[in-house]
Formats: sequence, C-alpha cells, structure tokens
Amino acid sequence: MEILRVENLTKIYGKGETAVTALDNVSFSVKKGEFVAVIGPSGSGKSTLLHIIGGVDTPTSGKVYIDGTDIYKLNESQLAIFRRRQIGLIYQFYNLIPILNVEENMTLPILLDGRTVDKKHLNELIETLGLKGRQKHLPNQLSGGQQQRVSIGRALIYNPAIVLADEPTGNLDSKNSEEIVNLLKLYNQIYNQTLILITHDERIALQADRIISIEDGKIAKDEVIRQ
Amino acid sequence: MNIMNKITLKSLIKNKTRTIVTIIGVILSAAMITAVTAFTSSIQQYIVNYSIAKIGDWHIMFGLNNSEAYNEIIKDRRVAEISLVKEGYYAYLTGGINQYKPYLYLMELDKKALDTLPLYLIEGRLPENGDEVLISEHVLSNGGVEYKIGDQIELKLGLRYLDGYVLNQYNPITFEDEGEKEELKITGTRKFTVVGICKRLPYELEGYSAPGYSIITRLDETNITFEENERISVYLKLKNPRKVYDFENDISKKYNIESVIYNDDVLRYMGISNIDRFNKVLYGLASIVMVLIMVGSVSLIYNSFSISVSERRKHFGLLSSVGATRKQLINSVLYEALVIGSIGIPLGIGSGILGIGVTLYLLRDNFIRMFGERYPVELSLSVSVASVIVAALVSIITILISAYIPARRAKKISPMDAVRQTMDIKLTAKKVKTSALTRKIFGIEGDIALKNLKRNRKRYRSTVFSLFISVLLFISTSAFSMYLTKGVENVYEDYNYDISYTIYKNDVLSQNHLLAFENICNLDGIEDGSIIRNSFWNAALSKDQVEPSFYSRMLEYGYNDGDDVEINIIVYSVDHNTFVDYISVLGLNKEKFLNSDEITAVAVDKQHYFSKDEGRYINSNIFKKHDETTITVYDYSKIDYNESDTSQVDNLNGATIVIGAFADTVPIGVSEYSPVNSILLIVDDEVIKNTESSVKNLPWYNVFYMYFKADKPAEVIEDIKKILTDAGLDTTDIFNIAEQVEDNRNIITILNVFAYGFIVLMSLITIANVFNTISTNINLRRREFAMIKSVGITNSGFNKMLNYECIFYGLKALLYGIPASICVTYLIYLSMTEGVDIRFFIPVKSIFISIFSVFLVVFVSMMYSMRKIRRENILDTLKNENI
Repeated sequence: MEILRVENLTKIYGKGETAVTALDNVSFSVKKGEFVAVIGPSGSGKSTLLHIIGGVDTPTSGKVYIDGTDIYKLNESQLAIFRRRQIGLIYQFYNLIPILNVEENMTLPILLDGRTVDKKHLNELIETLGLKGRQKHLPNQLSGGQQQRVSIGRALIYNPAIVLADEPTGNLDSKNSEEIVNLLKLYNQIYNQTLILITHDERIALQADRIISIEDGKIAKDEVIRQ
Repeated sequence: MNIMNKITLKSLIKNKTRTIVTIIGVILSAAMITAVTAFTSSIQQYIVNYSIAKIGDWHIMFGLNNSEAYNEIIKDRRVAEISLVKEGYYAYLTGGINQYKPYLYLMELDKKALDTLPLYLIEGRLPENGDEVLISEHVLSNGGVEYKIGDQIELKLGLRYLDGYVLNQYNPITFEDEGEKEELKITGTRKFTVVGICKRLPYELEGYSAPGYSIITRLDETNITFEENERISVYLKLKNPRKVYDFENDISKKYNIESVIYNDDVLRYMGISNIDRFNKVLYGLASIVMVLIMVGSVSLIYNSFSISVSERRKHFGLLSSVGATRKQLINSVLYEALVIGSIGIPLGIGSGILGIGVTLYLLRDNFIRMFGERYPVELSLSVSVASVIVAALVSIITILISAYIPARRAKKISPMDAVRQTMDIKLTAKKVKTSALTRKIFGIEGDIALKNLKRNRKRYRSTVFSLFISVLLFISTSAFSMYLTKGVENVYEDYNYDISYTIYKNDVLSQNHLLAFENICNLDGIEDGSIIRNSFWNAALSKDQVEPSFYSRMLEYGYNDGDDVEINIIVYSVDHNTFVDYISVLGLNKEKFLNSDEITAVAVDKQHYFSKDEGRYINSNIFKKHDETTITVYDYSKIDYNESDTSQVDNLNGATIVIGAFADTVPIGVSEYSPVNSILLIVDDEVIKNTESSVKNLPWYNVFYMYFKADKPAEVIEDIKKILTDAGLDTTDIFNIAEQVEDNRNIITILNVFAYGFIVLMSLITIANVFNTISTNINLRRREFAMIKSVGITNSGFNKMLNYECIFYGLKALLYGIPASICVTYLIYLSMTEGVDIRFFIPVKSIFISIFSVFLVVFVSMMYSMRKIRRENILDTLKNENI
C-alpha cells in the first residue's frame, strides 16, 4: 500500500542570477511500513526534500501525496493540523522546547490539538524510549541521546502516517547513535511505521529496506536492498 | 490550560526582567491615561459643583404670573425638584447712599429654595417663617445702611411701575432727568426681624444694575396664590437635564410664561448646553494628551513584545513544525498581552487614580484660591465610571496595538527558519552604497557604521523609530503646555494694578482727594498710583482706514459697502505725572503730547473679546496701519434713535484728536485691551483741563478712579482706608483686585505643575524606550562586534565606529522628528484656537533641548550597553552560536 507519493518535485531558491535549484523534478513513492534511507553529499537537496515532504517548506512545483492527501492543496491551518497528526519530524538538534518538560514536549502535538493524552499509550512509549522516571525533567537536564529520544517520542506520539528524520544521529556519539537507530527500527518493524531517514552514515543507511541517493537535486540511485 | 498558553506563561516567567519591565510600562501607561481621564472628570465635576455653588442647583427657571402654568409645572413628571421664590415687591432703603440702588427687594423663598439657591450666611441663620428676614451684606458695604441681627424693620412694600408696566430687578432705576420717572406704588406693610446676614446673591440672580438689594424671607409653600402683578419664580431641577430644552419648548408653548432663565453655566459644564465649547476644548485637549501617551506607550510596549517575539522565534518555528497553526501562534502573543494587561492595567488604573488623587489633594489650596474662596467648593477626585472605562479601553487598545504588530511577525515565521536557526534580522542583498565622501570624512569606521545602518534596515529602523517618537513626544508635549499656558493667560485678564478706589459723582476732584492720593502714594507698600477718568465717544472711520476683516464684519451689522463705519472710543484721561511717565517709557516726544492746542493721544488698538458667534476668545485690531493719524470724535449719546431725523448726526459738533502713536502697553489702571469695536485713547488730564480745543465740550463721566500698585495689597489696604477716613472720605469703594488676579495666576501655576509633570513622565518613558531598544540591538549584535574585533579593529577605532553610528541614528531621528513635531504643534494650535485666538508659534527652545538630549541619550545608552560587551572574550562570543 502506497503511503507517500512524490511527483515531479522541484524547488528553486532565489531568483534570476542567484537562483539555485535544490530539487530537480524528483518523483518516487513509498509503501506503508517501508524504511527508506536518503543519502547524498551535503548540498545535494536531501534536507530540502525532507522538509517539503514534511510540509514545512513549499515546493516550487510538483506534488506530495501522503496517505492520498495532496498536502499542498491544503490551506495554512489545514496543513498545520495535518502535520500535527500525520507527520512526525525528528531533527539533528532535537529542537525541544526548553521550558516544557519531557512529558509535555512529547505530547505537544496532542496538546496542540486540545485533546487529552492517552496515559497508557504515553507510558508505553516512555518505557520503550527508556525515559522512565524522567517525565518531569526539562530538556537541559537530559543528555543528547535522551533529548533525541524525547524528540522521537514527540514524532511517534500521534502514530503518524510517516516519520521523517533529518540526520537524527548527526550530533550523537556512536553508542547513542546505535541506540537511536535501533529504536527507530524497532518501531518500523513492530508497528509497521513508515520511516524516511536522512543520513550520510553508510552503516545506518545499510540498515534500511531501501536507499535513495540524491545528487544535485536528482535521484541518482534508488535501490531496494531488503524485502 | 491550553498548551500554547502554558508555553507563553512559562516563557514570561523565565524572562522575569523583561516581563516586569513590560508590566511596568503598561502600569505607567495605564496610570497616565487614567490620570488624564480622572483629572478630566474631576475638573468637570468641580466646575459643575462650582457653578452650582455660585448660581444654585437648578436647571431652568420659569417666571410665572398665573396659577394655571404653576399648577401644571409642579405636577409635571419630568421635574425632579421644585424651588419657589415669590418676588416683585420693593421697599425704599432709608438712608441708602447708592442712588442707583435705592430699594430693598423682597424675595420669599420656600424651604427647598433656601437649599437650592446659593445663599451664604455670614452670620445668624436662615429665616424660618415669613416674619424673619435675611439681609445681604451688600446693603451695608454698598448701600451704607447697617442692619444687625435682632433688628426689627417695617417695610412699606409695593411694585415699581413705569408707564403702567411693572418693573423687576432686570430693569435698572430710571431717573427723572432721563425723561421718565418710575413710581413705587405701595400696597402694604410688613414687619420683619433680621435673623441673619448673607453674602450678596450672584450676578445671575441680582444683576449689577439691579435697583434693589435682595432680602430674603420664608415663603409658606402650602398656600401659593397669585395676586395681580405678583410673580413666582419656579426653579426646577429635571430628572433628565438633557431634555431641558425640549421641556422648555413644551411648557412655553402650552402656557403663558413671563420669563425663562436657563442655568447656563451648570448646563454647559454638564455638557448639555448648546454652547458647550468648554467640554469640547476639555475633551479635545484630553484626547491629544491621551494620543501622545498612547504613542509613547505603544512604542515602549511594542518594543518589549517585539523582543519577546524575537526570543521566542525558535519556539514558534518549532511549534509550527509540530503542527501549530498560525492562529495558535498569534493567539499565543495576544495571550501574552492579555496576561500582561490583566496585571498591568488594574494596577495602572489604581495607581493613576491614586496619583491624581494625591496631586489634587496637594494642590487643593491652589485650586480653592484659583476661583477665590467665595464659594466653599473643593476640587476633589471624582472618578466617573466613564472615565475608568475610557482609561481601561485606551490601555487595552494600546497593548493590543503593541502586541499585534510583533504577533503578525510571529505568524510569518516559517518552521524552516526555526529549524535552520537563521538570524532574526535579514540583511538586504542589495548593494549598499556609501559615498566616497563619507569614507574621506569619517574614515573606514564611519563607512562601516553607515553601511551597517543601511544594510540592517529593520534593526536600524526600530532604534530610529524610538528616537523619533521620543523627539515627537517631547516637543509636542512642551508645545502643548506652552499653548495651554498662553491660552489661559489669554482668557483671564491680568490687571496692572492691585487696588482700586472709585469716587462717584464728582466733576472735579476735591483738594481732599488729591491730598489723600498723594499720601497713599507715599505709603511704604505702594509702588505706583494713578488717577483716571473716562469718557465714551465715537468716531467714524473710512473703509480704507480699517482692517478688511473688521470692515466686512461691520457690513453684517447693516452698513453699506463704502460707508464710513462707527467705532467706539474709550478715553482714559490720566493724571499728568502718570502720563508723562508713560510717554517717556514709550520714548515719545513730550512736547507733542503735552500740547494743549492740539490734543494728542496714545491709542491702544487691541480688542480682546468673547465672540458668541464663533464661541471663542478673539484678538483683533481695527486700524489697518498704526501710523499717526487724526480722527474726529463725537458724542453720540445725545442722539435720539427714535427720531428718524438723520441731520442729528450732522449737527453734532465733533472734536479733532491726533493719534500721535499706537502702543501695546498702558499706564497703570488702563485696561490692556479694548472691547469689541472699540479702541482706547490715553490723554493727559491736565492737557484736557487747559485746552481750548472743542474736546473740552465733550462730556466726561463724573466718576474718578484711583489705581494703586502694591507690594502686599491686603496689608496696605487698611492704611489706605485710614488715610481716606482721616480725610473725611468714603471708604466703601476700595477693591483689592490683586485677590482676583491671584486666582488667575493660580490657574497657571496648576497648569504648569501638570504640564511639567507630564513632560517629565513622558521623557522618562521615552528615554527608557530608547535605552531599551539600543541595548537590545547591541546585545543582538554581539557576534558581529566580536567578529569585527577578531579581524583586528582597535578599541579606539571600534569606539569611533559606534560613535558614528550614534550620530547617524540621531540625525535620522531628528530629520523626521522635528518636522513631524512641528506638524503636531500645528494640530495643537488648531485645537486651542477652537477656544482662544492665539498666534501660531514653534517651540524653538524644546527643539534645541530635544536635539541635545537625543545625542546624549543615544551616546549614554550605547556606552552603557557596550561596557558589558567589552569585557567579553572574543572567542567565547563567536563560539556561542547554538543556544
């Protein structure tokens, strides 16, 4: 079942002489439960691709369908709500809100919806992420790896259609990196969670089901390495 | 609690200092706004109370002569309170010395009227029945007849008739030599016991030309009858005073009403009267002040929110990336405004009321003296519900404006910016040119400074805008208070003397008088003195002699274009010494003005009057050119306007007077301005006495005035009385004008206290604002400074760069600020000319002060903010990227 389809995606920054084409007519689709690694040298456009898929940046042309919804046909607030419920974003620098505690940071998308949190679901997640006993801590009381686990929790809390991770291990040591990737893989396998991960770490990419490599804004290679 | 609000609250708590500064800003702003509204409502209430104390607590008076109207009015549902006064009867005042006021005038007041009308006991008590009477002290001080409490008096009462008409207090006494003689037809006798002495009734109830001294007794309100020619005045207070004009219309249409009087002052100050210029000016001024405060506060509070939004920029982007809608982001900023407002506004309103209350309390003596101590009214704090509501609304609007602009910016923050952590300030990509001249004059440091400003438009703008607002506020506030003071000085006539003494019924001053005058002038406390008599003549001026505006106004009175127009000449004949002093101060040729063959006068051509048409005070002049000229003066008072014989005017014998000079100053005792359509002529009394010119044949009033300037009028007045008594002269007509002038000066003192208080507060707000902006900017540029330092700029070069930046900031702010504040000054001028005719002027002094202060504040703020930064290690700052 197809969960994501990208059609002729083009992104051009700037105008005239200073124009830079970050994405050039990119098309591909992702099936539900697939774990896709996106690799490529810096400046190749992989982050741009991820941001456009995540609905935080807008394409110059082309379409993005998530679970059948053309997300750039949505208006501002519809898109924000879609992002909140269907997309989980994980950044390199965790991007937690420093004045909210772990539990609040994790449940932020639900809280923004004004809904009540399913305690059971939350506790399961906290336990899986190894954050038990740290619910009331503030981000600056946690280590980098722990902070990244909180941000994974925030991305997963709503059981989104798709989780997008932008170099989630880029700022972590190898031990912590391994743990984070294992966690993501765990969710991908147990809950059939679709996952797109940007990395330039070959070892991490090789753990994925499929590797898309991008060069100069184009898909250079797209191979399934695991069925 | 909603998560967005929770985040907002938490970040407010985290940034305690800024939150507190913002709340203080809101408190200051709300307090000032409340002070304005509370002061406005207090002043209004005070003026209403004062008018009530002076004229009485009623809205409209009907003079009735029949029971039909009376019976209906007292039953009318629109009426809240009724006071009755039966009046009309006069009795001769035996032994009275004022020939213009030969009667006692009996007013019978019912119980309510004793309350309503402004009766002020000096001693004794109010009458309790129809056999007791209250006498005005005026009977003694003006009429020269003394009554004591306990005296029994028997009055032969009757009505005044002239040609079959009944006369009342509005008809002055008529004398036999004026052709007709009025008659008092006695109808009965009543006996009274004097039980109290009261102050004279106000002008509105006993006019200055009223022929009878009011005496007051009790009316039995249970038995109201209308005898023939009797009159009952019904003073009404309506349930809804706003309907008073409709009410009058209605009653006057239905019934036969003899006379109607509105309590104009009370109605006007309540904001009901048709001519409510007063309220218009009051509200107009209050609005200007509030707008000024709003602008000042918005720029301060806006800055705080703006800084807050910048700091929370990353939060907003993050929230947006996890799915917060724009509406949620805006609401979050507005929620911040709500939190700050709900703490700041109530505190502000409270402290504003407290502040103005304390100010009014401290100034209460000035306020009482301001209107004289004649009436026991205090200016006390009167906070109307409307004034609090207005203050709260204005404060809320202020905060909303301040928060909304940054909130819109928050909305625009894309999640991408937050994720990438781009700088708050985007540099323009455009090429930035600085002239080669700049580099030559200011060196590379100046060049960098200028490029900095040009490139970082937004950051630069916020500082320049703060400075601009500060300049604007400072200059307009001082212009405002200058105009206010000027306006008040213009409305209240200032006298150039302190004590006056009037001598009636003398064609020539006796030797006794002259001797007394000399003795008084020799008293220690007396600085100057003059003797003056007046006359009132007329002159015809041709079209080309007078101002076109004056001429066109005269055409409206029925003159035909091309006609000569008639003006009034008020002549002041002053004693020789005073006149000689006067012309020598003016630097005029003595011989010319002291020549008795050709009467030569100094003219004052400045009219100052209240124009009913325009509803404001006007200053004008009549003569087009103030050059030496000759005019012919006539005595028109002999013309009988009932006869159509036009040759009367031609047959008048005129007299020629040379106007040798026009002057702006006057000798002591002469008024500085003339009334509408009049000019003043000042001549030497000795020249007039000795002249053979036909001026000699023109009439003079047989009244002389002595005017004195005194150091301490209240003390010296006793000595003057003694000199007069010793000389066998009357002492009843001495007046201490200084007391009244003192009142007017009090108004100006009070205004100045408020104006300067206001300027100081506003300056503080604006300085805080500039300081805030500059230090925030410097803080944001720490990395940039570290970078410049790391490439090896020297300390002095660095300072030079900053100094140039300061100069550019200041110049830019002044470039916009000064023209804008002149525009605002003009608006203030326009608002003031609604009520008073004053000339437009630019507050030059304030402009210079503001130029100086702008640079001072900028330099000091810059230096202060830099002190912290200088101590920082370059590398630490440079590394300090991702926090």
